[in-house]
Amino acid sequence: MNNSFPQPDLEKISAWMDGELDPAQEREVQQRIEEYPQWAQAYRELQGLEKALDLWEIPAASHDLADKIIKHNKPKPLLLRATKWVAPLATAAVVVLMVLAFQQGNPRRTTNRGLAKSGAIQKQQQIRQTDRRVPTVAQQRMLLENYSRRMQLQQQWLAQNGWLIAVLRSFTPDEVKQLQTFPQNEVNKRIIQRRDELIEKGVLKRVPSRL
Amino acid sequence: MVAPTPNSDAVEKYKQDEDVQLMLRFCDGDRAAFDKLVERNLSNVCGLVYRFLGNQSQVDDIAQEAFLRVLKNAHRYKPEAKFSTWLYRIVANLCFNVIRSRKTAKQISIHSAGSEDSKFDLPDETQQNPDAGLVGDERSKRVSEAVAKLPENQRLAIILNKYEDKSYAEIAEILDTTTMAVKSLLSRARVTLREQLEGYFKND
Repeated sequence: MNNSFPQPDLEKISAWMDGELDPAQEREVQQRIEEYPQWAQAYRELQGLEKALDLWEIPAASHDLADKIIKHNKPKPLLLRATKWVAPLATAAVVVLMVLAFQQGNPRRTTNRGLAKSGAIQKQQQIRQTDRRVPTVAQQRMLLENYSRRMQLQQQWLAQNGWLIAVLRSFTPDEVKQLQTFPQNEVNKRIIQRRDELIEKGVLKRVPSRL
Repeated sequence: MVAPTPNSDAVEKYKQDEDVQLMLRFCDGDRAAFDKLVERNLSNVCGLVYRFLGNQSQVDDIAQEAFLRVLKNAHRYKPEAKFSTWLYRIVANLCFNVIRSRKTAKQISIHSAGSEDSKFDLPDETQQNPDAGLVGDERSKRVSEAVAKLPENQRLAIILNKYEDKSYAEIAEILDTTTMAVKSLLSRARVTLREQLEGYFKND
């Protein structure tokens, strides 16, 4: 009996309910719902579905989740943010210092190639055979050699990297706070700017040619 | 009906969005703006993930990862759409990754067990809404089960439309498709849901 009625267009009714049709299409759907019982029935069923979907409840978000996320938004320490190469540089410094400390604590176990070449290892072996409590002249000479070598390494390291420490120390606490709010490229720019200022003032003399 | 294009008019339009303003402030170095964005959007993101995956255990991880991606990609952000559209697109991609890995895990599991059962395309019912009974009554559970059975794109479209009040254009942008496709997805989703939940709305 309803064969002469147009079948309800669910896509159109659905879009009409979502307010996604243009005015002409809206009027058309509205008219058909008023005129044809099948369209009106389809509309009622979709309305019912919307009500059924409203029944879906969800649990509240975890209480500490926002804090966990916001924690990632805290500024990192300036030294870590300053440049990408600060971390490897610091690691290298630690390694150098550890090597130096090891040499200081164990002068007889040095593996320094320079000492090996100069026959110092042979001297060490001779020393081991003598009384270790009182340093002999040979031991004293070797300690002095080690000390001299250690000082030389420290001076080399400071000559290459000490400028960064000097530059970072030249920032006042307020300037450091301000720097922490800047993006990384801006921090780098400020460090280089300060380095140049210190060179102009004569505070810094030797810096690497490129960063 | 047309998806927004990244022209200057669109940018000006979206700059009125409060979340877009917060995001732009965050890009300019205002860290508090990000905290505010989390505060304003977290519950919606959690709701979206919960409804889409039907699994409370992964909601926190995905929500956290989504906001971390916002943090990491802030320098690339351009106000070419509502902030929530950009955020939901990130969330949707993360959810699709989870579904893909679930399917792979299920295939491996079935294959290694030598089962003849090959319902690879069906939703993973073992993962569906284990907490539903705790958070709502039987009717809520029935609705969540019916939605979980929809194909992924239809499911996400209906969730975004019904529970997040997203327009067809916004859903199209999140799903990387057209508004016409969204119209069709929503219509098909409603037809399926109407059949599945017939008893529920007819009694109301």
